Amino acid sequence: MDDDDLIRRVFPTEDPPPGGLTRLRAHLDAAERPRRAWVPAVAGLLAATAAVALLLLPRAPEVTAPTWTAADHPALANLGYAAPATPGATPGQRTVLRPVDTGDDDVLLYWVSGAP
Amino acid sequence: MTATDAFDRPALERLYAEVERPLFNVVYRWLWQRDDAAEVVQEAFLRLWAMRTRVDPTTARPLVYRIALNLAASRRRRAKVRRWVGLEAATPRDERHPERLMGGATEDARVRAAIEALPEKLRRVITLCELGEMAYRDVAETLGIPEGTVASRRHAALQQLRRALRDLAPQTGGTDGRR
Repeated sequence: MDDDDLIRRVFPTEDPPPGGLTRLRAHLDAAERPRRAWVPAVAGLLAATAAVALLLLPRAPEVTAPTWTAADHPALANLGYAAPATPGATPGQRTVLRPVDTGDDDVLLYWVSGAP
Repeated sequence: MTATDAFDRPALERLYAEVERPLFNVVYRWLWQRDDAAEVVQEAFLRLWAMRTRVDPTTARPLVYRIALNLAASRRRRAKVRRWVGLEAATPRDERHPERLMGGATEDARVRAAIEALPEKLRRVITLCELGEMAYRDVAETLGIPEGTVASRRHAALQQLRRALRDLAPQTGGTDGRR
């Protein structure tokens, strides 16, 4: 048996099952299709979930401006958070010092006012 | 023109039409199941398509053969493990009865056994050379070995097949027209 005869008997060729190219095209299309369908679907779902969450979540309490006056906390006037208090004493007038509670032992504040 | 531009859908489909038959025949000699072989061919092309941005169109053909051979070898190893752990019932019927393959003749069973007995590196070369419709140069590129090694392994594979099948009855009649 020479090489050609051996090869012919050992390696007869067959036709593959029909429709291979059609199946390949279907696989390629299927591989691309879900990506197109998924992106807008997932994006829409996320947007809807976010909108519902915003509607349902409890709102934070409204912040209103404090009604402090410089008399309550004189330091606020220096920071611009309260209108400056009217002078508690005028020059030459007898004054009274009233300690102001600052909540900190290291910080001492006194309210100066004219003596009655 | 870049590889990305050139290796588009039409190029893939042209390559498929060109190599489907030889590639199917190569893979079939690893799996001995027509459906499995056809599946591997499909999967090889899908993997080639998945990596298309990195594919040089001039090397797509050897690349798809290499992918298919690796897939077939991997499936074959899994099937061996399946048989080894005793899942014989899960083995396709034709695998358990080689004589039913390719017409059911006893000669076919012996031919199959002879191919099965080839070491993997010889089998890769001989199937690509004889069924893959590839020149030595292409086989060498596909397997990443020198052309001289392709020739020597093909020769060794033929020697082994001849020894295994030396007492086959002489065949009468014409050829199948392949050569």
